[in-house]
Amino acid sequence: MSNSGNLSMWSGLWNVAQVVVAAMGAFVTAGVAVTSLRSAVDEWRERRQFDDMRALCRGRLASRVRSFEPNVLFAWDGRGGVWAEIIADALKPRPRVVVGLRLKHEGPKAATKLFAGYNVLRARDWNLYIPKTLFDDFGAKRVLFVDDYVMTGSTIRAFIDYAVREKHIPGENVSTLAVLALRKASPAPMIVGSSLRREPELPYMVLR
Amino acid sequence: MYWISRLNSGMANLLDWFARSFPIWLVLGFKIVGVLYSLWVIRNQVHGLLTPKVHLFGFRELLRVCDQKLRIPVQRFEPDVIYCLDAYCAVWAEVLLDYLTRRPVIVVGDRAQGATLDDTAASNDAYDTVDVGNWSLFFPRNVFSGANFAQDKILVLSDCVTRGDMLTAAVEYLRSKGASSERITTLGLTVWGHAHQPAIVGVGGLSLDIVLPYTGRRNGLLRSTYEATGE
Repeated sequence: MSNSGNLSMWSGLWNVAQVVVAAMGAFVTAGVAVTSLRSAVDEWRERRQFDDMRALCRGRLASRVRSFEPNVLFAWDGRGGVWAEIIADALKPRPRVVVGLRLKHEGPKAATKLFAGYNVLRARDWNLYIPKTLFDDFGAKRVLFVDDYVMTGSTIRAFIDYAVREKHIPGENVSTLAVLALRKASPAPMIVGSSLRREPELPYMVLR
Repeated sequence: MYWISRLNSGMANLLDWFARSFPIWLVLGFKIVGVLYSLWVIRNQVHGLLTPKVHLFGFRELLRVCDQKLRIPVQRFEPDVIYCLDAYCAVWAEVLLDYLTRRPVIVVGDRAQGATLDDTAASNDAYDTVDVGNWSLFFPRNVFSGANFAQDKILVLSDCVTRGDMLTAAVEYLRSKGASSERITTLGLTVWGHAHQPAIVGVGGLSLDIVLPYTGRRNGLLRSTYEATGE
């Protein structure tokens, strides 16, 4: 009796152990599957986003810019610069792409070196450095300011104030473009790829 | 009634015929599909052998290269200035900023192929021009005139190095402006195996043409003339 009782107890425990191991295996498998699926979906979305922005630049934005006929595209940094290059590639004659500098007012990283050849403009969060001779030596007659993403519009305001008020460039010779812009941005860019309600996650920030 | 019974018997005969001959049709169908599929595979193999291959880089793939292969060397070098050959390269300089505790200044030049130079609408007065093969490199004068680079560590960055002569020309130009040779280093994000190798390499040893995500054009030497942004 006691032997058969022990046997049935061990058999029951063995069954429970089997179920537990199977459940753990199922959980792990499901976890791995969900993680891989999520990572694949994220990658697809990010790739999609970059492709979408590039398609905007080559298509709708390039045709709008073509009608403006700029001879210089200006961006504050490389993030705007890469889209400016893509747009410039779609234009003929190809306009010059000029890139300035953009540094945070109170950022954790102070620039180690600055050059004398720039004028400094102060926007809400940024110190913006624009080449002193942009409208002279660079020969900028019709200038398009290009940014990847406009949140508040302060950098656009700074650029227009500098070009129109300080350098007396006629307003019709200055235009602004953002690949993505928040709807609340003021002033809004004159040419917008896509107007957004919420902040986007830009493709070059995926690893941050 | 007669016609209905004829129809019934006709249908029954047809079904019977199908039931008897179906396996033959099935086997034949499989064989035809199999032969067509084999021909399609052989055609693809031959096409692949005849046409030069091209590697399409994704933006995320290149970001991973920055993270895994460029982070440590760039942190070790700790540049004061990053000089980018054009604004396409500058986006990678912006990515590298995250790895550095001291923020370097990013200086962006320009470059154009000989054929497209005449089309450049803007003035060249703002730039020092250095010709490299059928390309021209433009260095912004507002940065390089009057600046003292002797004590600066300068990283010269290119996104695509097929021969290395543009990086060499940029280093020579910077040296002519007073930069110290020991304090200049070069970085190539994608580098061909036969190119003059930069000190820091992202994806090295390339032998195939590539397409970078933003240009959508082939870069490399497999074509008779390599295209814009290809060094």
